Amino acid sequence: MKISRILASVRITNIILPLIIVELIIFTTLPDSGNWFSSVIFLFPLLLFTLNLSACTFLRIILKKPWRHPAEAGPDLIHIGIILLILAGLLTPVVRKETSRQLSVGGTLLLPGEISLEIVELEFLTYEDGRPRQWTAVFNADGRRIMLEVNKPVRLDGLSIYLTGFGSTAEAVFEYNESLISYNLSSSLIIGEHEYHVKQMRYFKNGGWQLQLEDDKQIVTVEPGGFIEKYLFKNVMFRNEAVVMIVSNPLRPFFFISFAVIAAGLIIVLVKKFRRVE
Amino acid sequence: MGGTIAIVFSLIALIISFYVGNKTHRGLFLLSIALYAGGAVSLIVETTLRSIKIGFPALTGTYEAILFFSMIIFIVVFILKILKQSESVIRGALILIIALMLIASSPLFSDELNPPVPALRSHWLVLHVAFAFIGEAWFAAAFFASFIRMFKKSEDSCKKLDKLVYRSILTGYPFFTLGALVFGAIWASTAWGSFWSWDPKETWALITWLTYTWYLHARLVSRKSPKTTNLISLLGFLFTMITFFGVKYISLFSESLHLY
Repeated sequence: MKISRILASVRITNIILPLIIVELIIFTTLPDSGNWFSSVIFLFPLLLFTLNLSACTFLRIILKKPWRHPAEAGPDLIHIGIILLILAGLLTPVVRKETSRQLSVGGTLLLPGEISLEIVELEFLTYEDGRPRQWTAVFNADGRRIMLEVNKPVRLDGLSIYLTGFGSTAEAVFEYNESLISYNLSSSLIIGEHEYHVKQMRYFKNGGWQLQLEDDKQIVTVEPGGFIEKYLFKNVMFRNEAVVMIVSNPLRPFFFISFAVIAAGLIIVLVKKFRRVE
Repeated sequence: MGGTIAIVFSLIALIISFYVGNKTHRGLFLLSIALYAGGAVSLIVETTLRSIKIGFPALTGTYEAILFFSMIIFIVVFILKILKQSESVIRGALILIIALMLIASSPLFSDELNPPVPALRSHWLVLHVAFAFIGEAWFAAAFFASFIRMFKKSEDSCKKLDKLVYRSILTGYPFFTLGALVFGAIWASTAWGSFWSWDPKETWALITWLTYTWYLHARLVSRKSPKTTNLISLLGFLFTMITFFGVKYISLFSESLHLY
């Protein structure tokens, strides 16, 4: 109990808070600031703060029992909400899983619960000045039609699915033996016995694209209608793709619970204290 | 147009405030009230027209954020005047509105109408920005009360200003907490799938919040000397302004997801 009283001291709060503030200010000015937030230098004061907050809340609720009137619960609710939030935040990196996929129409996403999502439609609306206005991806989820938009994630089987971006992939189309072969230009192109990389790609004429490819020994330039070995270069085609992110975070409800608890506490504090300013 | 009206109204109100001082003059009191209300209404009209033109609440750019922030400060000034609070604090807030309007009309920020990109089209964003600025407008009032308190010697004046600082922070704190941290985190979760990402703007909002949390603990529980709490209040608003305008100049090594 003595330890609880020491830990609950507001003097400790008034030391830890400025310490954390100074640390945060320093971190935001440093390169790779993201790494500092998971370092001991930051986590130790955060742990002390959590202990201080927990001990204070414990003493107030268990020992002092201040909730004779609901209006007195405000500060404790805020404290409880913040403790829940810190715990959820600290545990999230351990349990949260995230994967991203770039998919075009016809692309399929297989979720852990054997649900398959196939993109059947992609829509990319722009404003007159060309800036993006709305992205939409329509999925077929085992016969169900699901529409995914930016800012409107879909919850499926405990997973959250987000549309986080839109892009397009360039593919070089060649004809060989009367069949068409597509090569993704972001990776290497194995044509005949050579492995090429794209050195340059530029708009040629009449909707055609000129490719400059290089392998270990040479640089080859090809235009629509030209050949590389026996492969006839047709053109470069662009395919729209949606960037889809799948997130599994079992702690997600805890965040919302803690937000609700904090909000309730804040409202109570505001209403109560504003009437009785000493 | 709304910005120009706001500047003119603020200037007239400021002149009246200096002319009247702490004396009571019913006619000029009513005129001041009308000017504050008129300033707020002019900015509401400007924001509404911009919102109609872009088809979304106009809160997604720096220029629009400054308009909204100034509008809330007008409302705060209106409330302070009705409550017969310190005229010096009101003057400070009016000067802040003029400064903000001048910054908004400077070449630093474009007033071009830009409809929001998909990630910004969220009602959580509207709540996030609106609540955060309501909180920050009250922090501005607390800042001016703290600043003026530094030069006051009379115990009575100091007590009154301390009370005003406390009330202003106590009013702004819940709004700022809900807006900057809670609604902001929910919006981040719906847009990017993560509640918190240590983005420089997020971190500075947290720094601001922790500073006011520190103020409330220092003032409320440990009975620190008013000079110390006053200093914390001044620091709090300095951090508020850094969060609003200065993050990109401080966090040189990190890119922020926030556009302003």
